[in-house]
Amino acid sequence: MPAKWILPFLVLISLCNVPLSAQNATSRNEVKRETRRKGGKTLTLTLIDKTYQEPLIMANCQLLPIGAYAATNMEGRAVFENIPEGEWQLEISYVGYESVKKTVNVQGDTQLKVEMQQQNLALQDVEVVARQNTTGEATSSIIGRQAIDHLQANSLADIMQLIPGQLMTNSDLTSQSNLQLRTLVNNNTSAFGSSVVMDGVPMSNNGSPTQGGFSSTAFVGTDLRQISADDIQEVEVVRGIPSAEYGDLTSGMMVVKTKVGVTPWQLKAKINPGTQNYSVGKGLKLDKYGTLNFNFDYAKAWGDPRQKTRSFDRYTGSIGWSKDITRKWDMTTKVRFSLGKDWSGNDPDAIDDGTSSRNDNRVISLNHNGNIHLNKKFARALRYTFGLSFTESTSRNTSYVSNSSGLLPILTARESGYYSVPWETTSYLATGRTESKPGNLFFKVSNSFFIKAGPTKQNFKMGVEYKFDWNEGKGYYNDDDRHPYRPNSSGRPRAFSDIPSLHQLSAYAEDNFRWELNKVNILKLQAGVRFSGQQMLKDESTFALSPRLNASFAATKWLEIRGGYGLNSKTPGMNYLYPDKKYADIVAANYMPQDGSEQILIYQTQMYEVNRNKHLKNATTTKIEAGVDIKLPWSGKLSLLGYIDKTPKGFGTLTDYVTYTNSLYAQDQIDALIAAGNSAANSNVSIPVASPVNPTLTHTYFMTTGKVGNTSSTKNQGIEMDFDLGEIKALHTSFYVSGAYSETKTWNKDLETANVRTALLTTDYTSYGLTPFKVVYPSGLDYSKYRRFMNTLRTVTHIPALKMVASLTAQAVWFDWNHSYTADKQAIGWITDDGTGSGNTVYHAISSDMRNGYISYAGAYSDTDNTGIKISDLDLTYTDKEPTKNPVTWNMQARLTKELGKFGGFSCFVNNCLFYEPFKSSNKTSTRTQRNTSSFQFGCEIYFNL
Amino acid sequence: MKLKHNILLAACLLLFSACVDFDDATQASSVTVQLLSPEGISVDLGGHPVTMLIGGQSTIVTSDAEGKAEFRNIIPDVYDISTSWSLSAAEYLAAGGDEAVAMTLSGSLKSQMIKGSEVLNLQLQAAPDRDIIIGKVYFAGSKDNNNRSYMAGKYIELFNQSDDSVDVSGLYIGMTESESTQAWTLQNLNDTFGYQQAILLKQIYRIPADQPYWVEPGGTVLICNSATDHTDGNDNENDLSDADFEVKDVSGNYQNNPAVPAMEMIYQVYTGTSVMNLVQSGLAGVVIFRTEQNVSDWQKVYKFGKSTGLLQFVVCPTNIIQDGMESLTNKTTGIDVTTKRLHDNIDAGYTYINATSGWNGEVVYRKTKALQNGHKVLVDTNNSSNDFQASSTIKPREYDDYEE
Repeated sequence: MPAKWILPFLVLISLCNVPLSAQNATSRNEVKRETRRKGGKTLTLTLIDKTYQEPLIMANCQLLPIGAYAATNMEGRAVFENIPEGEWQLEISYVGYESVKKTVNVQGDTQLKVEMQQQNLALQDVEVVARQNTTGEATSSIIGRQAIDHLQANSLADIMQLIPGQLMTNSDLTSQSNLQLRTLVNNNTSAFGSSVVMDGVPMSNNGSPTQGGFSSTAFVGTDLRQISADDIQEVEVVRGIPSAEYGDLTSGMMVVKTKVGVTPWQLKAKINPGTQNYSVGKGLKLDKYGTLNFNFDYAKAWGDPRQKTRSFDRYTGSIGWSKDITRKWDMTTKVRFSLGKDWSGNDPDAIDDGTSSRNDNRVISLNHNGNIHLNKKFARALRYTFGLSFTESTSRNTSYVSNSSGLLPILTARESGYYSVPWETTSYLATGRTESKPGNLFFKVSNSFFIKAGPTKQNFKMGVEYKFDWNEGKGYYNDDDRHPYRPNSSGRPRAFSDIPSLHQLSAYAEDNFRWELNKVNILKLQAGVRFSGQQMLKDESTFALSPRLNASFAATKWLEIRGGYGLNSKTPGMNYLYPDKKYADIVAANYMPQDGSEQILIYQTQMYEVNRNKHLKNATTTKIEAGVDIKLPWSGKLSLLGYIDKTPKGFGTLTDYVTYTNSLYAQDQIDALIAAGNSAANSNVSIPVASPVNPTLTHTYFMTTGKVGNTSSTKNQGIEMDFDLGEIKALHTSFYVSGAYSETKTWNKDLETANVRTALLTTDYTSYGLTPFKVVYPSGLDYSKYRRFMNTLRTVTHIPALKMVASLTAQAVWFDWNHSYTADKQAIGWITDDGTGSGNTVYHAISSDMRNGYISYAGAYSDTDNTGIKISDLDLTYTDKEPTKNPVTWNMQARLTKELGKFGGFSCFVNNCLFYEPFKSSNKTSTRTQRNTSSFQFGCEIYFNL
Repeated sequence: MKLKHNILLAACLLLFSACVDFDDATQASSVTVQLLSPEGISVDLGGHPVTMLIGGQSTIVTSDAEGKAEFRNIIPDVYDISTSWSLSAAEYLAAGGDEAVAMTLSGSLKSQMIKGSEVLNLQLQAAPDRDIIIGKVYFAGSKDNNNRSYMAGKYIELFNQSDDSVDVSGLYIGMTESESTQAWTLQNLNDTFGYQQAILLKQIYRIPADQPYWVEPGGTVLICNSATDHTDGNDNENDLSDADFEVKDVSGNYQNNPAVPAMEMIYQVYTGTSVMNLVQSGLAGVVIFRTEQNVSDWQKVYKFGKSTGLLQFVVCPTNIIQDGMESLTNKTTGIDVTTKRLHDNIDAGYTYINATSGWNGEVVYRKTKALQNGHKVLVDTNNSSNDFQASSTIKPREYDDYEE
């Protein structure tokens, strides 16, 4: 099945017949002759610095919409070959320089000299807010270097506040941060399914299992703190329907481009009361050996400088080498490393009782991007990306394990059975560690070509991609197994290296179609499809076919209509496909004489191993968008966009029951076990013992299996607004208003079950925590809903003569609402043990004519036998909770950046600059709660360019 | 000229200050408490101590011959007022009692707003002196030597007041409902089951009736969740390995001492636990009773006004209750007496520990009233405010020495 999809791409690429031998064709005349034979034209660019008239090396040059790509060589020259005649859009970007966008008319072999201006605040154009992407492509915000500098971002996480609909936040490196787009509530699937693409290579989180069962609160997205902001050239945050080139995601993605090219030495220091961040970077010109970029960064953060109970240290560095190997082949290789150290513990002023936790995360990665300019009709540019990353994540938690009831069994058994177990009677200091060593290999080859037919222009992209994720980690373990850190059923060690590795193969094709009906009416389409398959030859394979379409139509000179539809799929990670074994432990004998005679504690351990979740599907988000872009008579522009993002089958717990019988030992058997020396009182491990032959009591317990399913559902919808009001020149001030009305609804489609209410049971059942059967209720009726309407006004005052830019941002949350709804429910069935002793269960449906009947404690239905539980008594009724509506709050930030000649400059900021932290009550309580807490922050940055 | 101005200004100030009305300033109140004899008997109401209590500070006034106690110069506030004294069997007969039984007279007014000169009537109630009473309740739990919470050492201790040995077999112990939002207020109970006729219990245990369990005069019955030595690793706990009865744990979290007889579990509102639920913050009410009725058949109710719910509480008639004590949570904002679960005829007051959330090893126990025939007699005025006190040093089976 997958071969069907991949084959056409491989054939296509092989048809392109990659002529690496062309590397030798270095003579320009030969090239010209060759291109003339093909009928195309050659556009030769010479790129120089406007001030110093020096060539710029390894600059990205693109001709749109052809999609032709070239990089400048050591002489600053880039050559586009085999270009059709006509007018094309030339776009050039280079680190530290103003981007160039200009129309070039290619009517024959053309030579063009382009001068680029270094970015500085003396220029008329500065960009300190997010820029919206062009229509007809994914809805995204592009954040450039100037905006990052003005924001004084410490990490990628801080940049998010420039996105419409995102709240302004303080920079806090001490807590993990992940990408959550268009959602008002943190969501596991959304966090896991957000993608961060660094220099073409997605940062994989598929191979990072967590200890224990599935947790809906453990967010497993890529930690944005580990990416230093100072090494970034540009970030694109894709909220809408991404190009088919990108996959393995649900809600959204970040495309990060780091600095490549010649730059001066730059030293930066950012300081605020809780954080210090220092970096040094340089882009070196190695003449015939290309360019070498490096950046080193150190950050230290305390969560709260008054209470040093949390800290984060980050060391990051990158070294990148860029070179045009031949005229047709250029490449960039980056080696990146980062070390993040999270610590939390007792304040130095508090009593040190030895408790602390620490998490070290070391990453080393290699990214290699290459471009081969084939300039053939169906193979214009062949690109390839190779990524390899190794992560070592170690966490250590040391804490006192509470033992409030005076008997703590040390459960070490990993198989089902009865065990004499050791125990503790007091609390103890314990250390648990988790070692995770995920690795990721990524390889991608893509091709693009261009077709012009009449008024239509099409740029085709296609490629194949392979991802391999593995983990060599030791997993969770205790320093001392006799004193485990988590002495309960979710604390059993698990070696991550035992988990099968993941293989993912994807292929995509996309057509960027442009139809110029006339000079005004232009239709743009980005239509693509992506196929991906994971573990394709195994039972637990998952496949996804994701069509994606972005369209825009310029109806008039001032009105453009756009819309889109697309599917994004995230493959299940290791934790979801191969969940940990599930354990249940029930006491079978508790014999603790105090007269010095032998004591014994026997537990029954029941283990269930899902092994692999064969039924699991990808989490797929369907995105629908529609909007308008209106150009206003002055230079203003208004964009309105409505969206619906629906993820009906996100990852969540899948409830499924098995049963097991627990037997309590009779006194004579306890005596016999003790006499035979089976007490594990002084043992380090559990000792298997024979199951009770004539038990005092037997009880049947239900246990869940630990399966993961596609049970969690989310729907996000709303309207985003981006309004560029233009500039009042007399004031040197530009105004931008963005805003969003967002609604998030989450619900769960997992089997809804409950024990029989304790009120309906006798003490024999309640004291042992037993239920005679599991009651089944209709699922998916309960939901949580969140709504928010907010606006952000940014005023940017830029005075070129003073080389200064100041911005004031005011954000108001007009409406903040949430509602957790729990529906009244009637029982629709019950689950019992099947009676065969196999542990399997049977589902019994309740029809409407059974509503007045009874279910016996043995699980049998009766119309009349009222000794059982009346079915109508199993109904659940709830008092509907009133929605919570929070009062209007607002917040203001002030920022200033000033350049001091070419030598450097400084920036400073104050968040919540009016220190507005009012006490306000919500609609549900008269108790007034302080708002905008922890939103006040100030800091400054100085930088030197040498 | 300047002097003139100053004189004028002073005259004006004097004029206006004469207009200031100080009547709204706080003024001391006085209150007269009139004691009223219990129904059916007529007792001498003179010479008895009447206590006015606010925030742990008490003022005691002795009643005059007419049974009036006058409190003067009281700051207007909310006070608890109570009194109690004992009647010998002879005195009770002389007062019109129907049998020769030693009785305790007690009465209380809770949360009484005092703001002016007023007369308050304090109705007394008579209750027979009991043999077995609740002597001590340890619900607070403690912090172990590693400063971690520890609750396995909680216990209830019964005390034999009488001069005879008493067989406690078959005696029931009930724990009052302790939901954070009170399941039924006392008013709800009065309205539904009659005035002071019923209370709600969440757990009921019984001392086994398989054999007589005799308690000698001044003797104690120690009932705990885990009859072990809890001092291992915890200096704030006690060795309970010689306890009289143990509630056997079925969850595998408490040590079960096979040498100690098991309490019978009659009713349990919670799931997955069998041990006594004594709330460490102090919302702990305990009653003891004897009955020939089948307790399992007693009516069970959901929270007030609900016809369904997770938990059902047992409706216990008050007329069979032999003794009861109530402890309320000592919040930073003060003790909320509206959270009381026991009627005045069981416990007219309440006790409390000093800690607001427990975990400090405090035990509430009865004060010692007298030495009688070689054994201690504890204070039992049907009012825990008078009868109990808290200590973090008192040991199981120990009570204060009697001081003349």
